[in-house]
Amino acid sequence: MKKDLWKRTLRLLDLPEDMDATVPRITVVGREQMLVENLSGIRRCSEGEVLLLTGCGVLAVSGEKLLVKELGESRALIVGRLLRWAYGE
Amino acid sequence: MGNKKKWLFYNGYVIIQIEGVYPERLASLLEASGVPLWDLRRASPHALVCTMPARGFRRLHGLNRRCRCRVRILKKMGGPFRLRGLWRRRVLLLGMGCTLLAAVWASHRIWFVDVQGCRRMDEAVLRQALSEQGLQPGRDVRALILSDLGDYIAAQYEELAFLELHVDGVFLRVRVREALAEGERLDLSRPCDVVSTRDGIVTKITAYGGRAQVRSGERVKRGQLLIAGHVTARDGSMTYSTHAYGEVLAAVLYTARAEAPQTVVEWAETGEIAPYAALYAGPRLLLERDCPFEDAELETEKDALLLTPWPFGVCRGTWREKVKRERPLSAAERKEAALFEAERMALLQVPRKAKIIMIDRYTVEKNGKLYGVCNVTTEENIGYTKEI
Repeated sequence: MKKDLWKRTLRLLDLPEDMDATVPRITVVGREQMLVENLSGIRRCSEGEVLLLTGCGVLAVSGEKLLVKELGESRALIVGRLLRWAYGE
Repeated sequence: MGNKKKWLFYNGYVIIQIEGVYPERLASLLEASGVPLWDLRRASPHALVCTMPARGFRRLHGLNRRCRCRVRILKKMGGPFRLRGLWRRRVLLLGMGCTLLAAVWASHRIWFVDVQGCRRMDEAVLRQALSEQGLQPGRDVRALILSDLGDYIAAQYEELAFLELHVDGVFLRVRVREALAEGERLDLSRPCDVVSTRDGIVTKITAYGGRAQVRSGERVKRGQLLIAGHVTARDGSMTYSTHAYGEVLAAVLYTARAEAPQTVVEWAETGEIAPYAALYAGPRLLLERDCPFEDAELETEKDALLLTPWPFGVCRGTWREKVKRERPLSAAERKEAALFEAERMALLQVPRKAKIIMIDRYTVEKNGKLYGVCNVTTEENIGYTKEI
């Protein structure tokens, strides 16, 4: 309820939704880098898969030779060969 | 080195291995508590390896209580860890500190005084004057105003026109501009002209005083007026006399001719030889065998005999008798000798300050005789100040 109200307020003020710290913002540079902001933790980290906890659920990033280059300040920089990413519950 | 690497090096960092059933949980807790992690990767099914700042390591123990993971330090890196090892070697550290302080102390002082441009002025006198003003090796000159000191010293000596002082590291560079000698000074009150000292072709004319009477490319004769001291205003309203001076560069030709010699006189050995010996005490000659020939060449080899504490030396050699013999020259040798002599004679005429542009050598035959001719073209100042 509170979340909906906050979303509505942002829309009303014509502000981007990623101002809400719980909404993740994902930036992908080519196939080698992915920056995920506004995350709340890491669930799994391996060479083939990285699972990140976000406000919208678990973000699963699959690829080859994945490495979490940086983790801190509610953001993660994943490098490696990215294949796909998807949200799960 | 990138900014991140610099930051890591200065603050120190550790590479840790987190082992447990769920090591990602500890990584998440660290991230949530503001401890950044780098290069997070899985080392084994139950272990993660990552890099973290050394400062965050204390917080790790408090957070680990909730996760029950086992944390192992794989490597300690960065400046603080290196310095910690050095801290055990106090004397070395003290030595390094003292050396650093000495280097800083010495780098603020001048240790060498480099004087350039002294011709008439005695360099030793100038160094003494600098020393009296505190500009001597070992002095800290940061507090001194060098330009004022330079002006002050230049005012003390009439040989000096200007003194430039500047500090270049531990060097004090002193550049001297000397005043003109009595004869070189321009007396601008006397009206005079600039006339040509030689025949030539003007290549550049610059009149600082008076009015130029010739142009570049013009042929001038010796004694010709180059810059006039009598000047009439362009509108013809007035005429006045001034001290004409300036620079007149001209291409000047110097020619010399020399006859090719038929023979040449050379020293030749007769084959007669005589032994030579001399005894020295240090550099002093004690005994020497005289030369039995009128003209001879000496070939020596010196042996040092250390018979006593004194360095005695014996010099042995051979006198080779020589006599002068006249030898007829071949055609090529005659030509080369004539050209050489002509060039030597032409170059002897060239003034010291002239710049040689071209040297042209050739041979001519006249009345059955061979002559070598050399033309030397120079560029030089041909202006000469002549009182009106």
